[in-house]
Amino acid sequence: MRSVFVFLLMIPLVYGQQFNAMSEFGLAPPQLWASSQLFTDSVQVQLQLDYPDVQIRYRTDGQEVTESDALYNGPLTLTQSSQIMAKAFHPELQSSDYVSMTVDKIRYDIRTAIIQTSERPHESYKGLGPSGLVDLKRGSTAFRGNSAWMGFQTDSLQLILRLKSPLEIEEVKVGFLEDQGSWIFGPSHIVVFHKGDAVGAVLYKEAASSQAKEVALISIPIEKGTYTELSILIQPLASIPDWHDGAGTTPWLFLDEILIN
Amino acid sequence: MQRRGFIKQTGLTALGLVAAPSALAALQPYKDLVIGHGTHRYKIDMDWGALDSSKYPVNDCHEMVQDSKGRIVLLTNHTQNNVIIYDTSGKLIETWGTEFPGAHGLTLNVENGEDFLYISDNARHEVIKTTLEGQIVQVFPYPADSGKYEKPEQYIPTETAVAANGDVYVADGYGLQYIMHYNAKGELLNVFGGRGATDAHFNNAHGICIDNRDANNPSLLITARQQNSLKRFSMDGKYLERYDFPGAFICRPVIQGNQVYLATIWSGDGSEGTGFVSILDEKNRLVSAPGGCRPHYTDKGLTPMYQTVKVFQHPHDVCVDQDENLYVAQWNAGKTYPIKLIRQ
Repeated sequence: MRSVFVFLLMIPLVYGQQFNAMSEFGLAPPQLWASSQLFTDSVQVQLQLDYPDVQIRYRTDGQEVTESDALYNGPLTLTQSSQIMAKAFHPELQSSDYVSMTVDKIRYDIRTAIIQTSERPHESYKGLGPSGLVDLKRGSTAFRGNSAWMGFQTDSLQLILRLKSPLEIEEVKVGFLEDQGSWIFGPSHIVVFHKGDAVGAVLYKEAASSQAKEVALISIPIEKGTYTELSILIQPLASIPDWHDGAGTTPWLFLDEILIN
Repeated sequence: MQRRGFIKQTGLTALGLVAAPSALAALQPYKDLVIGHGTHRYKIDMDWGALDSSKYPVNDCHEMVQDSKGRIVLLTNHTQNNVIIYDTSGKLIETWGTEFPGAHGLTLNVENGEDFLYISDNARHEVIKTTLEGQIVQVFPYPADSGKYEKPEQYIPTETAVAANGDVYVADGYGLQYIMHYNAKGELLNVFGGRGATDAHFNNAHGICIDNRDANNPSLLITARQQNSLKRFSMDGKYLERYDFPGAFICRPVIQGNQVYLATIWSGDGSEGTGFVSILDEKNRLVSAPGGCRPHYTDKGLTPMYQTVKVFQHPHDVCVDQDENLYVAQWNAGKTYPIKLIRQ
């Protein structure tokens, strides 16, 4: 009896070889949109994967998403800095890879600030000009044709930030892109000056070794004080490191945002 | 995708499940995946054209056409066998071609009852016309007399289209984005397009075809892939109209019946491995997207498209056979062979 049953089960198995079964394929990651990646009060996040019987589950703490996490059933409103992670599940298809986005709550909206750059960006990656560095809009890893990014090839870049009114500041953040496969590296050293005096500095040791493709943000703690003008000196890697195809040449530096807290 | 190995594995799982309470659960893994929307839905055969890669290797599978005998002709940029000819079941019939290192565009045209192939070669910077047996009968070289180019390297033709009167149009999709219009003898009659963001210009004029659906009024359909747009031009190179498909990086238009089929190499923000297939109706509206989300139009036009299920990596061309099954050739997909989609 049992062997007959096994035989019956084999029939769809043989027949099924002509086409590929649902269980052999995975879902694509959900689409993820945020009203802004930077916000002062709250941010709205939406997820979507238009496929029948899909369930999207998510977390906001950057941890891996499992089938027991929260089920997405409408736009989320977040009021704190979060790393959203989301994944799509289906009863018959394999679950998707995760999609991730960081949204950062910031203290100051400095869209009225004036910013100047010591070097011109490359003709192909002009972004929106220096004002795009304080527009509260982040770029994405699809950097080609993405107006958020200013791309530079230089051994040093100075940004002068003039605020409309004095603000109490203890941290400067610089948004950059890492995509070593496209010869784009993070900065190696950033120093913040006020009236010629260094008020904060940071070394990004991973700039030469990192092999990421991500939109990143580096924090430079500065002496707490009230400032209206700051000068930010960004030093890219002197040259592309030896492990890379472009060893010895000047790396690209891609910037999208300057933030203060 | 190692399908056969997977079947074997799930087969064992199924046997193991015999003792389980629900025998139906064991059947579930064999539910065929059906992709696409509305009237254009397909089952999938990932192994359709798989060959022994030590004997018949491929790099990118760029384009495919069906010849007058019903055979499926694949063009790859592997110079061991640039052309691989299959029957519709995926059985190998023959291979030829060793001199097309940049084999990219493949168009078939029937001239006085005989099939001819037009091969656009990115690396040779020219278009080569051959018989179905691989004999070269004509070359459309780098168009020095167009006045648009300084050197052959600037001219990187991606596709051709042949009009009823024998005129040949060549899209310089990876070069300076001009469209060359020749007569059948290869004399340059007109040049139009060129790089730019306006309606009459292109960013990646990747594919071109003749639209004969209005039999009395043929026109050209040309993709502007980076602009996610399909543009219509008159046969003498005047811009007429455009159809936008946000999020769909469409490669070349292929017309069969009233539909336009377009391999869509990337979607969404253009990330890797996000391709699907786009199918337009007689009004040039996207009606089915196998592997992509359901097309949805509002008063602002098509809602941005994205991939939903990972069947394809980078579809580069779609061939439609007499039964309206599709064959999908892929660029940069791990040297895999074409995938067949069976119309439901």
